Amino acid sequence: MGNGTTYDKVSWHFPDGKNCPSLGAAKVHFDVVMRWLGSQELLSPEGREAIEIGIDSDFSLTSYMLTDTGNKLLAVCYAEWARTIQYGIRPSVRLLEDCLRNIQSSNK
Amino acid sequence: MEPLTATAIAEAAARKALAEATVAQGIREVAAETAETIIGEQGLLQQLETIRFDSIESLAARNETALKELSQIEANRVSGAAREEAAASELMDQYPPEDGYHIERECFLRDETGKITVDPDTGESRRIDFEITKDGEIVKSVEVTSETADKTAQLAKEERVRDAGGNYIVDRRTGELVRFAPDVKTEVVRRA
Repeated sequence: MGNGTTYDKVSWHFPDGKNCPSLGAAKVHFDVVMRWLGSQELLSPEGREAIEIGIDSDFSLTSYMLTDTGNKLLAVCYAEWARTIQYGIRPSVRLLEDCLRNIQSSNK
Repeated sequence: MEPLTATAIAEAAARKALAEATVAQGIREVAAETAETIIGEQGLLQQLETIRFDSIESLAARNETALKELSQIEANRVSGAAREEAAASELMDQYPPEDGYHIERECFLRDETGKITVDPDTGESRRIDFEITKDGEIVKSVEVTSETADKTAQLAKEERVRDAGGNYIVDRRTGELVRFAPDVKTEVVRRA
């Protein structure tokens, strides 16, 4: 098996998850994080291809979709960020921004 | 008891006001810190609205509700990941690489040119949890889900995508397209 990581997936929230009100609510944080990852040039060709298709009911955020820095970032910070978000509310990416700054400064 | 003087009354009122202001400031600081740390900008605004216009009881109730929702989203993510890792482990045992099998995860279904195939009805793509390949063909396709989730719509979408030509995935090791073997359909595996 490839050594990929699935960080998050729409179906884990809807229909598989508990207390997620709708598919739309399940997709919000994926839309936010993918736009932000794209804006920071942290997506691999597979990630850029996925974002062109859009966030649908089969969407998953995997290590294959990210650059090395993107994977380092999500490995360290994604769970922490996920704990700060609520269904149906567009979350802030401040935590991810802070985390990226820390990674970039530690690489210098 | 001696009658209260105007000065004593004023001093008592001042002490009460100071105490209330201190408590209010403490509430503001704690609530703001909690909201900033846990909920983000929108949550912070909601908390501040509550502090301005509501009681400490309603603030506590709102925090409790928010925390339940916050932990729920992460709980769902963790549960989903655990289900898939358990299934991955079983599939690796059943389809070992030494027997020529290879497992790909989260691959888009593509057409013979490598383009992602979209469902003509919904415009959505189809990604399947696990595709097991051997000798250049997909020999097993597995979707992992919870014990109760309805997958009817997703499987119907897959049929439409397959009918529209989405019968291939990319083998990430080689970049080559791999086709479904005849009669291979995605199986749904349910786990707690």
